[in-house]
Amino acid sequence: MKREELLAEIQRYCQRDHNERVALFAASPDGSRLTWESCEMAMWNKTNEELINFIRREAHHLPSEQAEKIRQAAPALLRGEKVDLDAMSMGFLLALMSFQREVIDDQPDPKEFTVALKTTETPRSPRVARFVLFLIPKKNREHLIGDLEEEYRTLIMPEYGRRWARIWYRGQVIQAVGFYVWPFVKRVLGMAAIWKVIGR
Amino acid sequence: MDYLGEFELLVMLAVLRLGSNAYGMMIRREIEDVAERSASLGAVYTTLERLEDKGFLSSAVGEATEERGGRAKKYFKVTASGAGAVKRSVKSTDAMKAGLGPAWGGAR
Repeated sequence: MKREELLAEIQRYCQRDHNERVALFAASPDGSRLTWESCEMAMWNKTNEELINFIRREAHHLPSEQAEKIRQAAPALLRGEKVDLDAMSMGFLLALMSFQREVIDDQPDPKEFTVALKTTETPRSPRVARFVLFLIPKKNREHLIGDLEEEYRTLIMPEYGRRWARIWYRGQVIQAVGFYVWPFVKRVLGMAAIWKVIGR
Repeated sequence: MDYLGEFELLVMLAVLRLGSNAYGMMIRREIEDVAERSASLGAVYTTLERLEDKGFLSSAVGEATEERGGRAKKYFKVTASGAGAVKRSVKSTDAMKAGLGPAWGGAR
């Protein structure tokens, strides 16, 4: 698939209203809202590598069932068989395949393709850890969770992989909760000690 | 007059260094990268809250992005009294250092 066709393909599926944000993110990594025309211009100005990174990054936001469907359909599509996918999944699949082809000089390698598809897993942070974060006072809870999520998804996960990223996340959560809970524990222990002295 | 603790000073300096991009994650990374000291996000946030209560920092809620799960950022800015506190801390550290030998970072 040529670059022009590829961009037309992305445009086709990005323009579906439920998927508009993909187009917006394509053009603006900071998430600011742009018109489609600006998106298109920005996409034309991106290098192939940037476009690949965009697709991979966006694939992280796919629901896990959808990512699984794409993964299952990929080998069949590579064999030239018909696959049953919704438009958005097909869009992702085509985009991933096209980028992959372009990178490896129009010779798609199923192994390479599988590697690319692995990135379609949603990098969800550990659920239990996220739940524990509700022990943090409301004032800064949302901001702290947001910062943790951002670092987990954008820096730790790509650098160290899913397993270590999850360990890192749990460690951060334990420390964060510890910092907030410890003064409270100290106060309770202090009160208990005072009560013990008074009670004598 | 409130003085800054060691970690508080690091957080204040990180906020100053980052300028308009000073929010939790960036402050934590700045401390780790520049001061080469590990800092958890929990430690950074409790310190930021304390500094805000002391009036050394002010905050503003920023934009929510997709990679943050749609959660807003909280940007921090050093206030005039915060800047004064940083200057006092740095000055007193420098004054204490001045009497030491070069091996300890002093002038002699």
